[in-house]
Amino acid sequence: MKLKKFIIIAGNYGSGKTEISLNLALAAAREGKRTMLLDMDIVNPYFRSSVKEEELEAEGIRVVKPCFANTTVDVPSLPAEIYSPFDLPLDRAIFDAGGDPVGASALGQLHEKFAAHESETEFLYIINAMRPMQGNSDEIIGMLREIEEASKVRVTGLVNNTNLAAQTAVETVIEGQRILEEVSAKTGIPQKGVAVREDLAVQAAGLLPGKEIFPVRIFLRPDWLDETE
Amino acid sequence: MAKKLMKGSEAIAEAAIQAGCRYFFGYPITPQNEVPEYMSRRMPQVDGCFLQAESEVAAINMVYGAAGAGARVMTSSSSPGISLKQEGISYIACAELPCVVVNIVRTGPGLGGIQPSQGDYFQATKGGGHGDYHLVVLAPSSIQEAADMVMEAFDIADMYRNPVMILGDGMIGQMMEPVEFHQPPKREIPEKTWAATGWDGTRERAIINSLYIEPEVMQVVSDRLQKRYELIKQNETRVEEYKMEDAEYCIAAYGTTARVAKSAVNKAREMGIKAGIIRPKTVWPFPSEAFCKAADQVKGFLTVEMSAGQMVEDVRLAVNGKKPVEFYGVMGGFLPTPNAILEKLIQLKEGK
Repeated sequence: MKLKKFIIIAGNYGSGKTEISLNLALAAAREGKRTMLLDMDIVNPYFRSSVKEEELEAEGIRVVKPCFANTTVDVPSLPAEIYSPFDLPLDRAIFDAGGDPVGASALGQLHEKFAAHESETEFLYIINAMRPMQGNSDEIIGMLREIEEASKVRVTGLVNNTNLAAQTAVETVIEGQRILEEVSAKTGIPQKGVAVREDLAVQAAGLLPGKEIFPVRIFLRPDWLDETE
Repeated sequence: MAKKLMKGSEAIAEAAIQAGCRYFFGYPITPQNEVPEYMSRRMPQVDGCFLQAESEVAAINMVYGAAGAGARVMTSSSSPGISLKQEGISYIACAELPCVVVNIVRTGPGLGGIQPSQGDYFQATKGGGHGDYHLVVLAPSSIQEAADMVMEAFDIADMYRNPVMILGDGMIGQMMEPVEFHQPPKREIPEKTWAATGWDGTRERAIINSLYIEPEVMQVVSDRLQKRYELIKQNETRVEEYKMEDAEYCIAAYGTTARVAKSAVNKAREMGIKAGIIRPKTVWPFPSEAFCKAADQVKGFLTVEMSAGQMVEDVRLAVNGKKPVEFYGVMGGFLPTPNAILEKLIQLKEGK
């Protein structure tokens, strides 16, 4: 995927935006890019990108997270460092946004920065059509518009990441693709790619010719979870 | 409805709606906020009522009222919030009303933390509120099971006119797994002739009450409740056994902990240690018989909990001294790891 300097990753909870953010950050760092990952989710208490902070920092990625993330304090506040990507010498900053309008509202305070760097900013909206109340294009567009309004930033690209966790089959991805294409047709927002668990990437590429496939390694699910399903 | 990838809290909420629940009264608290959040979006779609109460105390009393009118009703909270509801739960139990109460357990005591725990086992199974009563307590270990149990919980509640609790640790509330909704096996549920739905002169007046001043009457009510609990024990005790056929060591675990334990048992088996799991799916009634029977087969038990050791007391009562019952617990909001459980199994085997 040809990517810009500032990447906002948003989508409904369970769309897979945090896994995608982690993968994008690691891919950038491994290409030698000066990378920052900003965990902007002020709502979700579990399964956040910053729980992998140690591993990410070991790869040279600067992690910025809410002041009380991963503690037992449930206070939604972000550090001033969220403004730093626009001033620091940096090649890539990935903003992992919250998964609903409330969670995504934290992005809103940066909207003037994103506007000032419009040509360098990409706002990717991640779609998982297997999530409840996100199973058709109208429901997805409704959530997308609410998140846009809360974040005060317009989505520039759609990514199909339709999955059922360990039970994902390539058919799951194809079903999501059909729904995403409807979303794209109705909104005029172009598709930027298909994110798919790495073991399904080759199969998905065969069935979706011409689509950019982004293989995803799963970081946040504990091993025992899917072993004992 | 086709398979969906759902957070436990969302699946619990949708399952309630699928089971015909049209009234939800709650108050937000992490890690179960997605239950009220989901209900607030979904209830209007099915002409139901979502109401965010001014407090947990208010919410449980709204449940009391709706249940008294014969409605399928649910409330949901997490540990400190469930403590606030206890008076109302005891009233509902005494008034013999069906309802479903969800507790997505976080660490305690006190306000504690927002990470997963199983520290509310005593509260859920031994009373919680005052007086001689029991809740039926279902403890799911996957999101699918959480959905299935919620749907069945409404039937169990109606069947026995008794509140049913879904006891899930924070992981059950927060993790995501694929879910399908199936109606539970059909039960003969008695008509709610006791419900206070307005008197038309053709029947006895329905009175919803938990106050019995005359000792003779209180005794009758108490006896009726105790008889009902015996019936529930006979009919509703649920347990899963995993690789117990030839097991020499038995892990006792419920909820998410049982999932981690399964992984540990698989590793132990690879090393030639014959381990199995007895997983209570109902923690009240407790499946004592399964443990009692296993005590004649295995060399020892290991109870694993995200607590200082609560269910272990019921395991010890059931095993009744026949075999050693060891305990491994983690607190603070951490999950046990498969390797840590495996290590404890090895210690049990080596008699350390």
